[in-house]
Parts: sequence; C-alpha cells; structure tokens
Amino acid sequence: MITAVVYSESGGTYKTTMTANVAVALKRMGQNILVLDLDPQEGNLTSLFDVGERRGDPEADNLVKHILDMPDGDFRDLIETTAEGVDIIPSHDMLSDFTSNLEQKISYETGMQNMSREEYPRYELLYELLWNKQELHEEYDAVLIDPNARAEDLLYNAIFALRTLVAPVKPAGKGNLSLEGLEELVGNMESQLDIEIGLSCVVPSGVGQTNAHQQYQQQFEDTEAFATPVTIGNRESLMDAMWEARGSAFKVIEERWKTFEKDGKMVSEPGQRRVRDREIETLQKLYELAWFIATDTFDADVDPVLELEIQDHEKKIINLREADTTEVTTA
Amino acid sequence: MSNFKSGSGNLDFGGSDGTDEEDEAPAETTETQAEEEKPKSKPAEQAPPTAPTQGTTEESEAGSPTEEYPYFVRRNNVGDERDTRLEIHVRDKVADQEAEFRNAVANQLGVNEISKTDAREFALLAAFHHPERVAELMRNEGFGALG
Repeated sequence: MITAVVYSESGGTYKTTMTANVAVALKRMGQNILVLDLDPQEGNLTSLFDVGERRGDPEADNLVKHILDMPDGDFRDLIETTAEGVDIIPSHDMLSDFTSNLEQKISYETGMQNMSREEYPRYELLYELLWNKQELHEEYDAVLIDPNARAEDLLYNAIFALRTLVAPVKPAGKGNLSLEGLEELVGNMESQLDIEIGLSCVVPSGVGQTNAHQQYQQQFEDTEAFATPVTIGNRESLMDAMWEARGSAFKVIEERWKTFEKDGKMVSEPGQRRVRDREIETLQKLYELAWFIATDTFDADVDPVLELEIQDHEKKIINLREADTTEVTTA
Repeated sequence: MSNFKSGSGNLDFGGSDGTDEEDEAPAETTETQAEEEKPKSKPAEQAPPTAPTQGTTEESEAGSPTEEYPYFVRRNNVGDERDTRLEIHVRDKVADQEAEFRNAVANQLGVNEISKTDAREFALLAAFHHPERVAELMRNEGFGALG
C-alpha cells in the first residue's frame, strides 16, 4: 500500500502539479489510486482536474462531514474519477473551517462521553475514516494527499493517516536546505502521537539554469539526510498547460496542449504543442519519481514501462528498467 | 542534522495487496459495496468498542493484546497484528475466483461481506491444515506428470 502526503512548506503550485503527476504516473503503472484534496484554496488539485462541482455549496456532503463523523451521504459518493483514471475526493470550502468545526465536535463529544478535551484523538479522525471505517486499503493500491499548507489540525490529520511524506522544494537561495520547519513538525508529531513518520524523498522542483539554482540542486543531491531521486527542472510552460488540459503533464504532451495568441487573444488548444525532448525528459523524471516512491519506499510491484501515445506523432516508450528512451513508431 | 526516517512511516495493513494487474479485478467487489448502503456487521465490529487512546491502536506493542480473546474479538481493524506482508503471483483464472470465494465465505458466516485480507489469510490457513488437498489440486494440474 502506497501512502504519501505531498508536503511543501511554501505552498505554491509545485505541490499540486506534482501530486497530479505522481498520481497519474502511479495509475499508469497499474495502481488503483485515490487522491484527497485537502487544500481549500483556489488553484488546487480540484480545479486542476475540473472536479468538485459542489465545493462551494455548504449543503453538499463533503469530506469534512465524514472526517467529523457527521456524514450527509455515502462516502463513496464523494469520489470522482478524472479523465485519466485517477480517483479523487475533491476539496470543499468547509475545509478552511476545519479547526472550528472540529472544536465544536470535540465540545459535543467530550460533553457526552465524560472525557477531557486533551483525551480526544483530534489528529486521528482521518486515519479512522480511511482505514477503519472505509477500509480503503482493500480497494486502492495508493492513496495520496495534497494537504493544506498551514500546519494545523487538518495537516496533522493527513500526516497521521498516511505517515509518509514526499517533499517538493523550490530553490530558495544558497545554503538553505529549507526543511527545518518540516523536521520540527515531524519531530513534534512523532513524539506527541507516538507514530513513526517517514520521508520518502525530497524533490527539488522548478530548478533553473542559474548558478545559484544549480548549486542549490547540488547541495540537495549531495546530502545524506534524505533521498533525492530526481530533480524537476523549470518547466513552467508544461506545468501551466496542465491547467488548460485539465490533467497531468502526460496528458499535455500526449494531447499536445498549447497556449498561444490567436486574433489578439490568448487561447489554449490541443494538437498544437511541439514535441520537445526536454519535456519528454521531464515526463520520464516524473515517472521515475513515482517509480521511486512505489518501489523504493513501498516495495510495490509496478509497471516500469511508460508508453506515450502522442497525437499525430510516433509513439514514445520509456522503460525505466533500460534507463534510456527508445523510440518506436506506431504500428 | 536530520531526524527524518528515510522511507515510509509505520502504517501497516498486513498488506494483502500485491499488485496483480488488478485494474478490473477488485472493481467487481467494490462496486457492489458502493451500491448497497450496507449495514455492515463485520466480525471486526463485534469487537468491544475501546476508548480511543493517544497513539495508534495498530501497533502490536510487545506483550499487549492478551491472547485470552480470539483474534476477531480483540482486533480493531483488519490490519491489526498482521505485520508480515506476503505478495503472491497467481494466474488470472485463480484471481478471478476470489470474489466468488469471498461471497461464499461471507454467506457461511452470515454477513454481507468479509475483507480481502481476512479471506486470504484464512484461505492460507485452511490450506495449511489440509496439505493433502493442496497436493491433490496440484496433481490435477499435472504436477509430477513428467517425473
């Protein structure tokens, strides 16, 4: 069972695009995958995949109601499936009031059960829902969470439930292996909750060609403290196009989504993007990242071959077991 | 400088979930779950409700769960005490029989369904108790025929 919270201290879009790309990569490796979007902000995974039509409707059943054990419907009705076959529980506005809702719930429960507030297992609710009530491990091979950025109840619930972190980091000046905040968070949680939290890997992302960036990347790759299986270069155009394609970078390349100027307006269309080696290479890195998480961290048995069915173009096959990309023409 | 544990955290389901090209295999069992709002009376839920404690219930701390209660009574969830992960590779025709098998066992027990993990562990145990039947099945498929 693969479980990972994609955590980044600085928030921003790397976390969301990376979650989407790793999720789709795992799906393409033959894994049944569920993603939970716990980020209530705009520009989250839910908007990327164009799901969660009722995220703004306070009446709608949503994940928070289920976490707090006050559901308005069947848990499985929360799950939507994206065009690329990834199951997702979309975000909902109620997530931004998670803590106040939780406090109310605790007041009520502790009043009823004659227990103190301290005794209430406030960080264990999501764990309880996913594994004990819904037994999702019976159904899925992998569960990923795109969490809210702020370190508070909801994030603790996410980490308590999944126990393993993947940390995208972006270049932040020289000499700053900026994981102190994460270390502190993990250390506190482990000692308070008596659990073991693992760090699968750190993924330097958005790394450009400047000297500072290159040095920064080197520092991360040289450290013994954690694994850095891949570095994702600065691929703004590719990642931006994901929002137009409503899907992963794999989809952008295969359907050839491109944003360009037409009749004085910016438009986005499929079938327009040039097939570039460096972008194919980025897909390979994303696939390698998913591969690392699946095999190295979780010992899962997954398909190492990625077949890219690029529109009006020869098929590209990436086999991680061979490590070099071979091109095959479509039959 | 780092106090990170490298790799995965301690989430154990006593994994029964080997990846076996199961894009469609589990779907049949899960869809039926989704359709019927099931008032589950799984064995797990006959366990006495324990007050939630700080920390996890899933770690079998040394010497904790007393053996005086049977497994399904003392456990809280399907992963409890199942610390060993076995991965098996099977032919499609075998994998395809699993849903039916689980339904049959559930019928015997008078419940709606039993979990894959439970079904598999006890299927293995049943085989351990009857090696002669296992041998017979193997002979039926030509084991030793060329010997």
